[in-house]
Amino acid sequence: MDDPAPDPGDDVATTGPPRWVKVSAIIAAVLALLLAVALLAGGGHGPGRHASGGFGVPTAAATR
Amino acid sequence: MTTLPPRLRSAALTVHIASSVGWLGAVIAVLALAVAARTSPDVATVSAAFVAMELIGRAVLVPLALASLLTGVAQSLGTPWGLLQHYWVLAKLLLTAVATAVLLAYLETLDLLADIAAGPAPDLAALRTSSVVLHSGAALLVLLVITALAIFKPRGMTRYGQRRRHAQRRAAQA
Repeated sequence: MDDPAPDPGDDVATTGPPRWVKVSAIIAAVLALLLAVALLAGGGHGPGRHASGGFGVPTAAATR
Repeated sequence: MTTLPPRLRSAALTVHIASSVGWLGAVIAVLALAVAARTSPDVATVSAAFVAMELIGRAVLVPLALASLLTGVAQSLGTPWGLLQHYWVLAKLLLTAVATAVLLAYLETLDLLADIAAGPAPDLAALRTSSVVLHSGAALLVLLVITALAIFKPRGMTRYGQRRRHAQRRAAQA
């Protein structure tokens, strides 16, 4: 009685991800894209760059 | 599915919470040091901050991050939640793994900055970087999201979780 739906056999009807998962996935994708663009525009990422003080200015300003 | 005995489960949960909260606190400490290093006019303060950040990174952040990751995996596998059955558990796992990977990769930068800071005449201009502030700030944000996920446990089962639950129900009915 708990499950009024007929037995679907091996074909299990599954529901898609809830809204919070979809929204979070979109936010994560946008952040990853922005990060990739910032890293490419800033000329890479690594300790040498950090030590040179290159991170001291925002990427947009550094690229004029 | 193998579930841990209640006492072992509570012990594992205690270690998981302690390591995760400790990681969060250590990140806040590094963020405070990073802000001090970025803003202080005193060379000695800036140098000491970078040396301290490198020490905290290796001796505190890495062990706590690894402990949090490993105990989290053990905790989910040893409870009915499972590792891949609920979106909130999966999201926690991914965020923790990414945060740990970024931390391990960033140790090289912390080493370099600490070496410059510990030199006989540290170059203040080279140490005037926002990198550590950005990384520790982002880490704090990610860890707060992870904490919120653990507390709120938002609904939603993965397709794998739904199939598994269905199979368990059918097995119970048979």
